[in-house]
Amino acid sequence: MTLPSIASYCGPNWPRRARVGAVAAAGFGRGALLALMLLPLGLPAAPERSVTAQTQRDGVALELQVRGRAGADQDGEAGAGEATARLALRTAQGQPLSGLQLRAWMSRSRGTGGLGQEDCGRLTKGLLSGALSRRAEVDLNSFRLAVLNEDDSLAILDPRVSFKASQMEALVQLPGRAADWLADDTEIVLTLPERSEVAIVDRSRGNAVRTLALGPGRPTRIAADPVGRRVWIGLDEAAEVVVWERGRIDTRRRIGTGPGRHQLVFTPDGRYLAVTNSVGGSVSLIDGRSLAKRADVATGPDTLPLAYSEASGRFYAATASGSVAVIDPESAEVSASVALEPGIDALAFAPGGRYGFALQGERRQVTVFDSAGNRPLKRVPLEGQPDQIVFSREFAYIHLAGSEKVALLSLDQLEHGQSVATVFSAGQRPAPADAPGAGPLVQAPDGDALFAANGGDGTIYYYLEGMMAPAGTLATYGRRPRGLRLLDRSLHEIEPGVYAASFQVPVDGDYDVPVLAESPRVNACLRVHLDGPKPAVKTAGLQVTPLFGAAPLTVGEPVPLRFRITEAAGGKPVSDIADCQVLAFAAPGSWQWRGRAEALGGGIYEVRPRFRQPGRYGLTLRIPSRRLDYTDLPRSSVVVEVPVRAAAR
Amino acid sequence: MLLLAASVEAGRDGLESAGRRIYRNGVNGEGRAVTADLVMTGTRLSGVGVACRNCHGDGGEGSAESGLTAPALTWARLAQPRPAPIPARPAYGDAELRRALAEGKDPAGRLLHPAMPRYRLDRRDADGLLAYLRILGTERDTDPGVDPDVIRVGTALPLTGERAATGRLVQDTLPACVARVNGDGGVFGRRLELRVFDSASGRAGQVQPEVFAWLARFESDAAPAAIPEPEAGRIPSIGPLADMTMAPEQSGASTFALLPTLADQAAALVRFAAAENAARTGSLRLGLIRTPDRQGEVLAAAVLEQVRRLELPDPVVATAETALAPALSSPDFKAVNAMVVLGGAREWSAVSAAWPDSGPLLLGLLTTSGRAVLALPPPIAARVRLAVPFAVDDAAGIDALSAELRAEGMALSNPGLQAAACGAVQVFAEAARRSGRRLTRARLVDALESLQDFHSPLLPAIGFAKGGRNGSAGAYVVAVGQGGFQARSGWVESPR
Repeated sequence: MTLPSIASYCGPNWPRRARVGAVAAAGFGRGALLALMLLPLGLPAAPERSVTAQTQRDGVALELQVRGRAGADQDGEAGAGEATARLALRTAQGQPLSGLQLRAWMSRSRGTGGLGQEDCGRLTKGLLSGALSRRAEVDLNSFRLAVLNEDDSLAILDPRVSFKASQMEALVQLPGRAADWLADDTEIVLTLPERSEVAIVDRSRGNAVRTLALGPGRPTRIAADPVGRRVWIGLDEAAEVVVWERGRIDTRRRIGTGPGRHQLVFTPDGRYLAVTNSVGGSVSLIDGRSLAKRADVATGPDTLPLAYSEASGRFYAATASGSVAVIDPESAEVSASVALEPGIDALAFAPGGRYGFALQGERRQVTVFDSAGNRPLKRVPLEGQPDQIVFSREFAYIHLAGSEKVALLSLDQLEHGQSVATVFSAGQRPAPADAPGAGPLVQAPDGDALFAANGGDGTIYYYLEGMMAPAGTLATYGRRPRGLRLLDRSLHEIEPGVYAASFQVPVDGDYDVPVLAESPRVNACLRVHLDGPKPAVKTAGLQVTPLFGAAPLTVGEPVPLRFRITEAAGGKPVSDIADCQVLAFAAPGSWQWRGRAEALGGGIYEVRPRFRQPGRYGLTLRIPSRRLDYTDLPRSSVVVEVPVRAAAR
Repeated sequence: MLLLAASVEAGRDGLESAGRRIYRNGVNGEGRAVTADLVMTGTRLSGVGVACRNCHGDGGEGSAESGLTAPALTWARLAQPRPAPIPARPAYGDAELRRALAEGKDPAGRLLHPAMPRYRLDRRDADGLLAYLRILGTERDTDPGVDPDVIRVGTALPLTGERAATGRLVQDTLPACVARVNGDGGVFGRRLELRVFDSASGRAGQVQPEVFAWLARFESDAAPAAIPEPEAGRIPSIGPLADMTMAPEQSGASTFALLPTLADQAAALVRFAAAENAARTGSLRLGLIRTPDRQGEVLAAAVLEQVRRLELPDPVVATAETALAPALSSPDFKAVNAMVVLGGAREWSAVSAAWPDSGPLLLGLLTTSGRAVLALPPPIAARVRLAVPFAVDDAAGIDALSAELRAEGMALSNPGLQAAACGAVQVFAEAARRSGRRLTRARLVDALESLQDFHSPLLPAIGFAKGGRNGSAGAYVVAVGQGGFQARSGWVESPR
């Protein structure tokens, strides 16, 4: 299934809507076409449609509401759009079931009528296995990676292995270099300090980009209110920050702080925002709800790095001398200080907030301190200059500037003894040094894995904790990634007992919606009809006939598999297809193989996959030049076996 | 004016703590149980059964159990209106809260869930509860003994009477350990303050100490607890110094022992003997002599359990109320290769008499044996091995501890005892640090239960499992010599 996207490197796959206003830009290599979308405001709002479904199982009442915008383009044709699924779970008495870890999918219904309990359980189990052959059309538990590239483009990647030809869902061009950015599944906001502008990518409107001049000052660091729906941006060289309600840029206002460069950090409950002022040598404390500035707390010259510790309930701001001021937001006073060495570039706390980390680039070290007593614990020397730190449950990951190396520090045993950072290489070539806001490292959603961008290699590496080398890579389609952000598209609780997620509407039809929760254990299926684009019967006038029979193939050796492609009307062989690709995948399972088919003439095309394990495999074709994707043509299958050795005598 | 302001402050604090008692325990400031009606069952309940924390959580975070969602009660939530589309309601104010408590209605006039009790609070009690709800779950919501700058910890030591010398040594040692914690920056901006009570004074009912936790309490089994506890069993007691014969379940669920019990030490002796015997042929044949009281019974049972676990032959036991000498000279005893002595002077003298020159290894517990075992003549002393609850060869630990004490003008005169006292302070400080600035007894207990492999000079590695109250189980084994104790083993673990 091709998901519509603003641009993909295969030109013909553009949906019609995107072609309006698209600008073909020459000289971007590989003939890639990029769109600079400046949607005119005042587009007629498409009518919102919603469908609901209910069911009850094991004393739990589930209600599903799907609200979508049926996109309509210039030609008036229904295009696929984004929709939101809202799942409300209550007990039979009407109490909302809050705090559940919920998973749900939407899978094209096979028959009529809803699924019985057993079938529902089987469907859920298959989907949980993650096998290619058991994918649902809509996964409400997914995430995307937003990638900021050296050429100031922003790509949205789907990191999962799937039937899609490309993992890149969208690519937009920004007008300038971004210094810092916020990203979630509704919008991406980037600061462009050299242009004194901010760029906003609207995820709910096909990734449309708009830019906004913010007036005097260079917008540099950015922070999101964790509770309220506001964006805050520090205006360097202006003694102000600018704030607006998300999605409503017209509500923006400026709030005075001190002069200089700024970093911004919130308390987790959104009550206080602290802003450091490097020239003013102070920290401004702003009330996150009333937006009033409470105080400017004098801290010391060149106060810039800033962090908040949950354990101590205090802000920590580093000054030029290396002394870190500890600020109580309630009393707006410096209650203590931590004496570290000068040259602190950034501050961060490990989860929980007890142990603080001061990144000291020039000294090529990170200093660990204990917020319980505000005392330094140890200095950990590094093989390079640290410029970003992220945390998993057990480790701190420290990116070393201008290199491919990432240092790992165990969060255990920070108190005593030696801490030695082990280093792994995310790539072969060093990445260029960059602004700290870019953020080449991001934690994967399951917590024990990491994505690391390497602009030198042009690759994104996937690192699983416990291994010394990356476990996989993600293609960046010829671009050099600078920074990564996670866009969480999974179900999250928006009100007590109500969970929502956005998704791309697939083809029109009936869908079974399996829902799974643990404690209390709930597994139920709803059925809903989604209004989407009508499935085009796509064969491009071709007929594909597999030329291999049902005889089992041998494991281990490359096996030639041939297809004949003929015109559907008349049966004439089609020999001029140059871009036919074949996908082989394990069914059931998650193994897959892709290869280019060789044209042998006479309409015959051959691939030679090698199957390493016995089992059943599915095969499907894709022909981009005829706009045929893997899911358009019927699948064939083969069985692979271990050869039976002939008896010795 | 100042006086008025101070009394207003004190009044407010008094209201808040009265409110906290209602929230946590269902009793008001004077200790009287509050009552409430349960609409669902038509019954009237009182006391801890209607305590708000049961459903709404210690920090007002709410809970969702068996499908019953009790909402969060923090002021941040209550004082905010809740917008549509979920049932909207305006913000709670004082009047609305009183109505919710008494009539079960929210500010929009809707009835609350029938599981929410309808409270019968008088004006004063309601004032207190409202005052407490304003600080519930915030930094100000701390247990008694915790102020913005100070954590008050207490200890009970025999300052008079028979064991006064020991009591005074601990009394002089503890401030040095506390000063070290405060010198390291304290605990999230709070310093520890120690209050010492005389456990031998026996003047029950006199003191209401309001300490946050007890550290290194030393009360012998003989003297009853002189300090009454306002909420019995609720104040955590860490690292009591009194020797415990067996697992401290009886002492209350809030006592965290750092040192191994005598039963665990006795079990460790058996494992030590078995390891020593492994080099020889033939299995270990144990003899056992014990005091005829309950302690002797418990310790003998612990030995027997280890013997059975290691699949050794059962020991020969002597426990006569009368003459031990005839028993010990029997052929059964002559055949043993290790003697476990679970007793004091009387038992040691009988054993010395039975094997004056050569004989089996003599295994005992330092704690029960007393001075008698240190004064044995050389041929016997050479065969003695004692289980002790602390390491005697931890040179680094001794240096560290000496330095800590010296900084406050104290000398290291009784390493085991002083290490145990400082250990209690260190374990408490670490647990308080893990709890963060918002310090409550419940969070302290959670933090203690999360400790694993915590090291303090001379003490074994401390760790508590969830619900566990024994920090260590096993012993170090030492020999007795001219210069004192010599280590004969590292830590010998007795599996629990």
